[in-house]
Amino acid sequence: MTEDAFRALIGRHRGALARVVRHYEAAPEARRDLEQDVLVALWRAQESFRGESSERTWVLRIAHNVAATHVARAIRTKRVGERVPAAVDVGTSFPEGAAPPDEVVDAREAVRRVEERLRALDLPSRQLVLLALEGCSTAEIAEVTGLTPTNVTTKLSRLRKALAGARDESLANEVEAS
Amino acid sequence: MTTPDGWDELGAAFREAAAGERDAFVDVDAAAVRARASALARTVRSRNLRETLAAAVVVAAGIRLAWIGKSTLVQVGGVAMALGALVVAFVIARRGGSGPAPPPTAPTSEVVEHERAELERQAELLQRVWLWYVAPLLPAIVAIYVDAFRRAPDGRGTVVALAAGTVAFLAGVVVFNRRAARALRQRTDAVLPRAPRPG
Repeated sequence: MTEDAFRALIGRHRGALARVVRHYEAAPEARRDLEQDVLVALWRAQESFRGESSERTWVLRIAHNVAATHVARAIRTKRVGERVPAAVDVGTSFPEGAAPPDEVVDAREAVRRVEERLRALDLPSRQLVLLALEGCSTAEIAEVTGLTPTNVTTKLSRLRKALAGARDESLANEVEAS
Repeated sequence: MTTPDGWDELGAAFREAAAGERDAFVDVDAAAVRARASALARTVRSRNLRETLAAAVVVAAGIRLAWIGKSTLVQVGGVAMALGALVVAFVIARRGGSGPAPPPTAPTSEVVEHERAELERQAELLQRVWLWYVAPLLPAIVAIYVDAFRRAPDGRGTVVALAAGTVAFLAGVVVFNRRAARALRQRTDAVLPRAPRPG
């Protein structure tokens, strides 16, 4: 793969890669390191892509694997509690002076709540939820994780119920506040 | 079509929420990535070399002590030091380094399992530091202190105090490492739980 082709590959999956990195690392400097580690892993693995899986699942698999190693390193160096941003920056992209529509605020609040709840989950569960939120199908998640599709469905169903609880709680808090 | 629990909407909002991360993975310098990949391999090689050199220094010191020692006890202590250092180096080389990691293209469950096993192995090493680090060096320490005790009738109090200090230090090493092992296991269990046994 040429350098241009590599840059194009990263460009095609920039959003998904950024979300993986953002989720796993809160500290800006460590996040840049993780970003570089993901790029190095993709660079090294590029020859192994033979089109047997989709490019997206191949990229996500490598990114999540590098992130898992990053988390293990954080566990080793006692940085484990810092890996997820305390407050996800989901509400800063409105033009100055413009009031964000209520439904957008609600959606972002729901995402914030889910991200908070995600932090309490173990790593394999978080991987499943992140892949599902990324829009991957059951078959794609099974391909990335190596689990059977049945296993993915069962686990995700349980996790979705738990996370729906988090969103209901958010709604209840809003009602209470009003 | 939307899902009853609003999952699709949540996913869309999640993907949209990366708005604050637009500077990530922009202007990728492929040459820098390639250089970093090579540097990583060099770092691993130089770390292995450092560990080997550190062990070689202690082995050499032990052999020298055995060679120039005026009493049998010191000579025995020197040999024990060299052998102890070899045992420690062997354990570090055999169990201290990372095992063969799955390739980055492996299924994520495989990588998670590998990382968990690595952390458990490191906790085990910390937990058993008395066995592979303290015990192999103990015969040399005992031999050297006993020799000093026998050869200095007037300074035995000092030798005993130094020996007590060494024992306290080694006990501290053991306690500190056992605590570190326990803490590492707790952190590991919280993030990377054991996979349920089939059946």
